[in-house]
Amino acid sequence: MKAVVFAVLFLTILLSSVFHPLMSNMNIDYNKITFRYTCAGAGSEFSSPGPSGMVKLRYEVVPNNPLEEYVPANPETLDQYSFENAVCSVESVKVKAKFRDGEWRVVSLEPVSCNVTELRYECYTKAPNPGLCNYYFFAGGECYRCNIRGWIEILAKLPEDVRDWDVKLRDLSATITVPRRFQPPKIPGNLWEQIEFNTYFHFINLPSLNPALNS
Amino acid sequence: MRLARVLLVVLLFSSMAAAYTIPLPTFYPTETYHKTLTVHSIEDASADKDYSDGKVTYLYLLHLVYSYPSAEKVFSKYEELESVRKGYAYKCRFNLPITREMSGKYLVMCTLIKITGNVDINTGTWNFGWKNIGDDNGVDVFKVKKIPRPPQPNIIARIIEILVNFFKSMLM
Repeated sequence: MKAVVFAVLFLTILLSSVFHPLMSNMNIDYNKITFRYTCAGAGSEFSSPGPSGMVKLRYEVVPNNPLEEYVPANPETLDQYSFENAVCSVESVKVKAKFRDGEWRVVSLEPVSCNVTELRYECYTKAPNPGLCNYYFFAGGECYRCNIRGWIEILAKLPEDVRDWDVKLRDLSATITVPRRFQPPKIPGNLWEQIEFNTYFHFINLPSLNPALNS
Repeated sequence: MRLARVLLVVLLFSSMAAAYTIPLPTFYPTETYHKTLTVHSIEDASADKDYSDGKVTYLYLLHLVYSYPSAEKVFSKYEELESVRKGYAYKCRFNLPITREMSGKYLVMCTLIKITGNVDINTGTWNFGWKNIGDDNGVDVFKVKKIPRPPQPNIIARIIEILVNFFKSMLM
Protein backbone atom coordinates (compact mmCIF):
# COMPACT_ATOMS: atom_id res chain seq x y z
CA MET A 1 0.00 0.00 0.00
CA LYS A 2 2.80 2.36 1.02
CA ALA A 3 4.63 1.54 -2.16
CA VAL A 4 1.56 2.45 -4.25
CA VAL A 5 1.10 5.79 -2.44
CA PHE A 6 4.78 6.52 -2.84
CA ALA A 7 4.65 5.61 -6.54
CA VAL A 8 1.61 7.84 -7.10
CA LEU A 9 3.31 10.73 -5.29
CA PHE A 10 6.52 10.22 -7.19
CA LEU A 11 4.70 10.13 -10.53
CA THR A 12 2.73 13.28 -9.66
CA ILE A 13 5.92 15.17 -8.87
CA LEU A 14 7.62 13.83 -11.97
CA LEU A 15 4.72 14.70 -14.27
CA SER A 16 4.26 18.19 -12.82
CA SER A 17 7.93 18.91 -13.46
CA VAL A 18 7.75 17.49 -16.97
CA PHE A 19 4.59 19.40 -17.85
CA HIS A 20 6.03 22.68 -16.81
CA PRO A 21 7.56 23.27 -20.16
CA LEU A 22 7.17 26.99 -20.70
CA MET A 23 9.22 28.22 -17.80
CA SER A 24 11.54 25.33 -17.33
CA ASN A 25 12.86 25.97 -20.84
CA MET A 26 13.27 29.68 -20.34
CA ASN A 27 16.67 31.29 -20.51
CA ILE A 28 17.36 34.93 -19.76
CA ASP A 29 20.61 36.16 -21.28
CA TYR A 30 21.91 39.69 -21.37
CA ASN A 31 20.98 40.21 -25.01
CA LYS A 32 17.89 38.01 -25.29
CA ILE A 33 15.29 35.85 -23.60
CA THR A 34 14.77 32.49 -25.22
CA PHE A 35 12.18 29.94 -24.35
CA ARG A 36 11.09 26.69 -25.79
CA TYR A 37 7.34 26.74 -26.08
CA THR A 38 5.70 23.37 -25.99
CA CYS A 39 2.39 24.03 -24.33
CA ALA A 40 -0.42 25.96 -25.96
CA GLY A 41 -3.36 27.59 -24.21
CA ALA A 42 -6.92 26.37 -24.50
CA GLY A 43 -7.77 29.42 -26.60
CA SER A 44 -5.61 28.19 -29.48
CA GLU A 45 -7.34 28.20 -32.87
CA PHE A 46 -6.75 26.06 -35.93
CA SER A 47 -8.03 26.95 -39.37
CA SER A 48 -9.46 24.51 -41.89
CA PRO A 49 -7.05 23.48 -44.61
CA GLY A 50 -7.10 25.74 -47.67
CA PRO A 51 -6.93 24.50 -51.27
CA SER A 52 -3.16 24.17 -51.03
CA GLY A 53 -3.38 22.16 -47.82
CA MET A 54 -2.10 25.10 -45.78
CA VAL A 55 -3.34 25.48 -42.24
CA LYS A 56 -2.95 28.31 -39.78
CA LEU A 57 -2.25 27.24 -36.22
CA ARG A 58 -2.82 30.10 -33.80
CA TYR A 59 -1.33 29.02 -30.51
CA GLU A 60 -2.05 30.82 -27.31
CA VAL A 61 1.07 31.37 -25.24
CA VAL A 62 0.08 30.86 -21.63
CA PRO A 63 1.72 29.36 -18.57
CA ASN A 64 0.60 25.93 -17.57
CA ASN A 65 -0.75 27.07 -14.29
CA PRO A 66 -0.78 30.82 -13.67
CA LEU A 67 -0.39 30.36 -9.95
CA GLU A 68 2.66 28.17 -10.23
CA GLU A 69 4.68 29.84 -12.96
CA TYR A 70 7.59 31.96 -11.88
CA VAL A 71 9.80 33.98 -14.13
CA PRO A 72 13.24 34.33 -12.58
CA ALA A 73 13.28 38.10 -12.99
CA ASN A 74 11.63 41.26 -11.75
CA PRO A 75 9.41 43.64 -13.78
CA GLU A 76 12.31 46.07 -14.33
CA THR A 77 14.43 43.29 -15.73
CA LEU A 78 11.74 42.11 -18.13
CA ASP A 79 11.06 45.67 -19.23
CA GLN A 80 14.59 45.76 -20.66
CA TYR A 81 13.52 43.29 -23.31
CA SER A 82 11.69 44.22 -26.48
CA PHE A 83 8.63 41.95 -26.41
CA GLU A 84 7.19 43.76 -29.43
CA ASN A 85 10.13 42.49 -31.50
CA ALA A 86 9.95 38.86 -30.39
CA VAL A 87 10.42 36.23 -33.08
CA CYS A 88 9.68 32.53 -33.17
CA SER A 89 10.87 29.47 -35.01
CA VAL A 90 9.23 26.05 -35.20
CA GLU A 91 11.04 22.83 -34.46
CA SER A 92 8.06 20.55 -34.94
CA VAL A 93 4.28 20.54 -35.08
CA LYS A 94 2.54 17.22 -34.81
CA VAL A 95 -1.10 16.60 -35.59
CA LYS A 96 -3.33 13.58 -35.65
CA ALA A 97 -4.50 13.15 -39.22
CA LYS A 98 -7.14 10.91 -40.78
CA PHE A 99 -5.88 9.71 -44.14
CA ARG A 100 -7.72 8.58 -47.27
CA ASP A 101 -7.49 4.99 -46.07
CA GLY A 102 -9.55 5.95 -43.00
CA GLU A 103 -6.67 5.46 -40.58
CA TRP A 104 -5.68 8.08 -37.96
CA ARG A 105 -1.95 8.59 -37.73
CA VAL A 106 0.27 11.20 -36.02
CA VAL A 107 2.19 13.20 -38.63
CA SER A 108 4.68 16.01 -38.48
CA LEU A 109 3.67 19.10 -40.37
CA GLU A 110 5.99 21.03 -42.57
CA PRO A 111 6.14 24.53 -41.00
CA VAL A 112 6.17 27.41 -43.49
CA SER A 113 6.39 30.35 -41.13
CA CYS A 114 6.14 31.33 -37.50
CA ASN A 115 5.17 34.79 -36.30
CA VAL A 116 4.76 36.20 -32.82
CA THR A 117 1.59 38.24 -33.16
CA GLU A 118 1.44 39.36 -29.55
CA LEU A 119 3.67 38.84 -26.54
CA ARG A 120 3.67 40.52 -23.16
CA TYR A 121 4.64 39.83 -19.61
CA GLU A 122 2.55 40.32 -16.53
CA CYS A 123 4.08 40.48 -13.09
CA TYR A 124 2.07 40.18 -9.94
CA THR A 125 3.30 39.92 -6.36
CA LYS A 126 6.70 38.93 -5.13
CA ALA A 127 7.11 35.24 -4.84
CA PRO A 128 6.83 34.04 -1.24
CA ASN A 129 10.06 32.16 -1.55
CA PRO A 130 12.86 33.65 -3.65
CA GLY A 131 14.21 30.16 -4.11
CA LEU A 132 11.30 29.50 -6.49
CA CYS A 133 13.14 31.50 -9.12
CA ASN A 134 16.15 29.23 -8.83
CA TYR A 135 18.56 32.13 -9.13
CA TYR A 136 18.66 35.86 -8.90
CA PHE A 137 18.93 37.72 -12.15
CA PHE A 138 21.07 40.86 -12.16
CA ALA A 139 22.06 42.76 -9.07
CA GLY A 140 19.12 43.40 -6.81
CA GLY A 141 16.87 41.15 -8.86
CA GLU A 142 14.05 39.59 -6.94
CA CYS A 143 11.76 36.74 -7.65
CA TYR A 144 8.37 37.82 -8.90
CA ARG A 145 5.33 35.93 -9.94
CA CYS A 146 5.31 36.78 -13.64
CA ASN A 147 3.60 35.25 -16.65
CA ILE A 148 4.34 35.59 -20.31
CA ARG A 149 1.28 35.58 -22.51
CA GLY A 150 0.48 36.15 -26.14
CA TRP A 151 -0.06 34.47 -29.46
CA ILE A 152 2.08 32.86 -32.10
CA GLU A 153 0.86 31.96 -35.57
CA ILE A 154 2.31 29.05 -37.47
CA LEU A 155 1.55 28.38 -41.11
CA ALA A 156 2.07 24.76 -42.03
CA LYS A 157 1.20 22.33 -44.79
CA LEU A 158 -0.90 19.20 -44.31
CA PRO A 159 -0.16 16.08 -46.36
CA GLU A 160 -2.34 15.99 -49.47
CA ASP A 161 -4.25 12.79 -48.65
CA VAL A 162 -5.44 13.97 -45.22
CA ARG A 163 -9.22 13.96 -44.93
CA ASP A 164 -9.56 15.12 -41.31
CA TRP A 165 -7.23 16.27 -38.61
CA ASP A 166 -6.97 16.91 -34.92
CA VAL A 167 -4.43 18.96 -33.04
CA LYS A 168 -3.22 18.28 -29.54
CA LEU A 169 -2.04 21.41 -27.77
CA ARG A 170 1.13 19.86 -26.46
CA ASP A 171 2.30 18.47 -29.78
CA LEU A 172 4.28 21.55 -30.61
CA SER A 173 7.86 22.63 -30.23
CA ALA A 174 8.73 26.22 -31.01
CA THR A 175 11.33 28.68 -29.77
CA ILE A 176 10.43 32.26 -28.95
CA THR A 177 13.25 34.78 -28.77
CA VAL A 178 12.82 38.20 -27.20
CA PRO A 179 15.69 40.59 -28.00
CA ARG A 180 17.05 43.03 -25.47
CA ARG A 181 15.95 46.62 -25.75
CA PHE A 182 19.31 48.35 -26.14
CA GLN A 183 19.62 51.87 -24.85
CA PRO A 184 20.54 54.35 -27.56
CA PRO A 185 24.23 54.99 -27.14
CA LYS A 186 25.53 58.38 -26.15
CA ILE A 187 28.86 59.53 -27.49
CA PRO A 188 30.97 60.49 -24.46
CA GLY A 189 32.08 64.10 -24.16
CA ASN A 190 35.75 63.22 -23.98
CA LEU A 191 35.52 61.62 -27.44
CA TRP A 192 34.49 64.95 -28.97
CA GLU A 193 37.44 66.64 -27.23
CA GLN A 194 39.77 63.93 -28.50
CA ILE A 195 38.46 64.32 -32.06
CA GLU A 196 38.89 68.10 -32.02
CA PHE A 197 42.34 68.05 -30.48
CA ASN A 198 43.62 65.32 -32.79
CA THR A 199 42.17 67.09 -35.82
CA TYR A 200 43.98 70.29 -34.79
CA PHE A 201 47.28 68.43 -34.41
CA HIS A 202 46.75 66.63 -37.67
CA PHE A 203 46.40 69.90 -39.56
CA ILE A 204 49.20 71.82 -37.86
CA ASN A 205 51.58 69.01 -38.75
CA LEU A 206 50.79 69.23 -42.44
CA PRO A 207 53.96 70.36 -44.27
CA SER A 208 51.82 72.38 -46.69
CA LEU A 209 50.57 74.50 -43.82
CA ASN A 210 54.00 75.36 -42.42
CA PRO A 211 54.54 78.55 -44.44
CA ALA A 212 51.19 79.95 -43.35
CA LEU A 213 51.63 79.04 -39.71
CA ASN A 214 55.19 80.34 -39.54
CA SER A 215 54.61 83.55 -41.42
CA MET B 1 85.71 75.78 -55.16
CA ARG B 2 82.97 73.23 -55.73
CA LEU B 3 82.20 73.12 -51.99
CA ALA B 4 81.93 76.87 -51.93
CA ARG B 5 79.40 76.77 -54.76
CA VAL B 6 77.33 74.16 -52.95
CA LEU B 7 77.43 76.23 -49.76
CA LEU B 8 76.36 79.27 -51.70
CA VAL B 9 73.38 77.44 -53.19
CA VAL B 10 72.37 76.08 -49.76
CA LEU B 11 72.63 79.56 -48.25
CA LEU B 12 70.60 81.01 -51.09
CA PHE B 13 67.82 78.43 -50.68
CA SER B 14 67.72 78.72 -46.90
CA SER B 15 67.46 82.50 -47.11
CA MET B 16 64.69 82.10 -49.69
CA ALA B 17 62.84 79.68 -47.42
CA ALA B 18 63.14 82.06 -44.51
CA ALA B 19 61.87 84.87 -46.63
CA TYR B 20 59.00 82.74 -48.03
CA THR B 21 55.98 83.79 -46.06
CA ILE B 22 52.37 83.83 -47.03
CA PRO B 23 50.50 87.03 -46.38
CA LEU B 24 47.61 85.89 -44.21
CA PRO B 25 44.17 87.43 -44.42
CA THR B 26 43.94 89.76 -41.45
CA PHE B 27 40.85 90.70 -39.49
CA TYR B 28 40.09 93.18 -36.75
CA PRO B 29 37.53 92.89 -33.96
CA THR B 30 33.96 93.67 -35.08
CA GLU B 31 34.73 92.17 -38.50
CA THR B 32 33.49 88.71 -39.53
CA TYR B 33 35.52 85.92 -41.05
CA HIS B 34 33.55 84.49 -43.99
CA LYS B 35 34.91 81.44 -45.72
CA THR B 36 33.71 78.22 -47.33
CA LEU B 37 36.12 75.30 -47.10
CA THR B 38 35.80 72.13 -49.12
CA VAL B 39 36.76 68.66 -48.01
CA HIS B 40 36.55 65.42 -50.01
CA SER B 41 35.69 62.07 -48.55
CA ILE B 42 38.39 59.43 -48.85
CA GLU B 43 35.89 56.55 -48.52
CA ASP B 44 32.24 55.56 -48.97
CA ALA B 45 30.35 55.38 -45.70
CA SER B 46 26.76 55.31 -44.44
CA ALA B 47 25.33 56.21 -41.07
CA ASP B 48 23.76 53.37 -39.08
CA LYS B 49 21.74 54.65 -36.16
CA ASP B 50 19.89 51.39 -35.48
CA TYR B 51 21.53 50.39 -32.24
CA SER B 52 19.42 47.26 -31.72
CA ASP B 53 22.10 45.07 -33.31
CA GLY B 54 24.72 46.49 -30.96
CA LYS B 55 26.51 48.52 -33.64
CA VAL B 56 26.22 52.15 -34.75
CA THR B 57 27.98 54.45 -37.20
CA TYR B 58 27.69 58.22 -37.20
CA LEU B 59 29.05 60.59 -39.83
CA TYR B 60 29.84 64.23 -39.18
CA LEU B 61 31.13 67.19 -41.12
CA LEU B 62 33.29 68.87 -38.51
CA HIS B 63 33.73 72.65 -38.55
CA LEU B 64 36.53 73.68 -36.23
CA VAL B 65 38.46 76.86 -35.38
CA TYR B 66 41.45 76.80 -33.05
CA SER B 67 43.95 79.46 -32.09
CA TYR B 68 47.56 78.79 -33.05
CA PRO B 69 49.88 77.98 -31.33
CA SER B 70 47.95 78.22 -28.06
CA ALA B 71 45.50 75.48 -29.23
CA GLU B 72 42.40 77.03 -27.73
CA LYS B 73 39.09 76.10 -29.27
CA VAL B 74 37.20 79.08 -30.64
CA PHE B 75 34.41 77.34 -32.50
CA SER B 76 33.20 73.83 -33.30
CA LYS B 77 30.14 72.49 -35.07
CA TYR B 78 29.19 68.95 -36.04
CA GLU B 79 26.88 68.63 -39.03
CA GLU B 80 25.43 65.12 -39.10
CA LEU B 81 25.42 63.32 -42.47
CA GLU B 82 23.52 60.25 -43.59
CA SER B 83 26.16 59.06 -46.05
CA VAL B 84 29.34 60.14 -47.81
CA ARG B 85 30.75 59.11 -51.15
CA LYS B 86 34.42 58.72 -51.91
CA GLY B 87 35.75 61.73 -53.82
CA TYR B 88 32.65 63.87 -53.28
CA ALA B 89 33.06 67.42 -52.00
CA TYR B 90 31.50 68.57 -48.73
CA LYS B 91 31.45 72.22 -47.76
CA CYS B 92 31.86 73.93 -44.42
CA ARG B 93 30.63 77.53 -44.33
CA PHE B 94 32.20 79.67 -41.66
CA ASN B 95 30.82 83.04 -40.52
CA LEU B 96 32.91 83.75 -37.49
CA PRO B 97 32.55 87.13 -35.74
CA ILE B 98 35.95 88.38 -34.60
CA THR B 99 35.78 89.34 -30.95
CA ARG B 100 37.93 91.77 -28.99
CA GLU B 101 39.46 88.87 -27.07
CA MET B 102 40.89 87.33 -30.25
CA SER B 103 44.43 87.98 -31.33
CA GLY B 104 47.09 86.13 -33.31
CA LYS B 105 46.72 83.26 -35.77
CA TYR B 106 43.71 80.99 -36.15
CA LEU B 107 43.41 77.65 -37.85
CA VAL B 108 40.10 76.96 -39.59
CA MET B 109 39.43 73.29 -40.29
CA CYS B 110 36.77 71.34 -42.15
CA THR B 111 36.87 67.56 -42.16
CA LEU B 112 34.75 64.41 -42.20
CA ILE B 113 34.57 62.21 -39.13
CA LYS B 114 33.26 58.66 -38.87
CA ILE B 115 32.36 57.47 -35.36
CA THR B 116 31.66 53.79 -34.82
CA GLY B 117 30.23 52.26 -31.67
CA ASN B 118 29.95 48.65 -30.48
CA VAL B 119 28.18 47.42 -27.40
CA ASP B 120 29.86 45.08 -24.98
CA ILE B 121 26.99 42.70 -24.28
CA ASN B 122 28.52 41.54 -21.02
CA THR B 123 28.53 44.99 -19.46
CA GLY B 124 26.04 46.88 -21.64
CA THR B 125 28.54 49.66 -22.26
CA TRP B 126 29.18 51.20 -25.64
CA ASN B 127 32.72 51.58 -26.89
CA PHE B 128 33.41 54.19 -29.53
CA GLY B 129 36.17 54.73 -32.01
CA TRP B 130 36.58 57.39 -34.66
CA LYS B 131 38.37 57.99 -37.91
CA ASN B 132 39.10 61.01 -40.04
CA ILE B 133 37.71 60.25 -43.52
CA GLY B 134 38.32 63.68 -45.07
CA ASP B 135 41.27 64.75 -47.17
CA ASP B 136 43.58 67.58 -46.05
CA ASN B 137 42.16 70.34 -48.25
CA GLY B 138 39.67 71.80 -45.80
CA VAL B 139 41.99 74.15 -43.93
CA ASP B 140 42.67 77.88 -43.75
CA VAL B 141 44.70 80.22 -41.57
CA PHE B 142 43.86 83.82 -40.73
CA LYS B 143 45.27 86.45 -38.47
CA VAL B 144 43.57 88.78 -36.02
CA LYS B 145 45.09 92.10 -35.11
CA LYS B 146 44.05 94.26 -32.23
CA ILE B 147 42.76 97.69 -33.20
CA PRO B 148 45.70 100.07 -32.69
CA ARG B 149 45.50 102.54 -29.87
CA PRO B 150 44.52 106.06 -30.99
CA PRO B 151 47.41 108.55 -30.88
CA GLN B 152 47.78 110.32 -27.52
CA PRO B 153 47.37 114.09 -27.70
CA ASN B 154 50.76 115.82 -27.24
CA ILE B 155 50.16 117.82 -24.05
CA ILE B 156 53.39 119.87 -24.21
CA ALA B 157 52.71 120.90 -27.78
CA ARG B 158 49.17 121.83 -26.76
CA ILE B 159 50.47 123.97 -23.82
CA ILE B 160 52.97 125.73 -26.12
CA GLU B 161 50.19 126.33 -28.58
CA ILE B 162 47.99 127.86 -25.87
CA LEU B 163 50.87 130.04 -24.63
CA VAL B 164 51.73 131.21 -28.15
CA ASN B 165 48.11 132.09 -28.78
CA PHE B 166 47.98 133.92 -25.45
CA PHE B 167 51.08 135.98 -26.21
CA LYS B 168 49.86 136.69 -29.69
CA SER B 169 46.63 138.06 -28.28
CA MET B 170 48.62 140.17 -25.79
CA LEU B 171 50.73 141.69 -28.55
CA MET B 172 47.82 142.51 -30.77
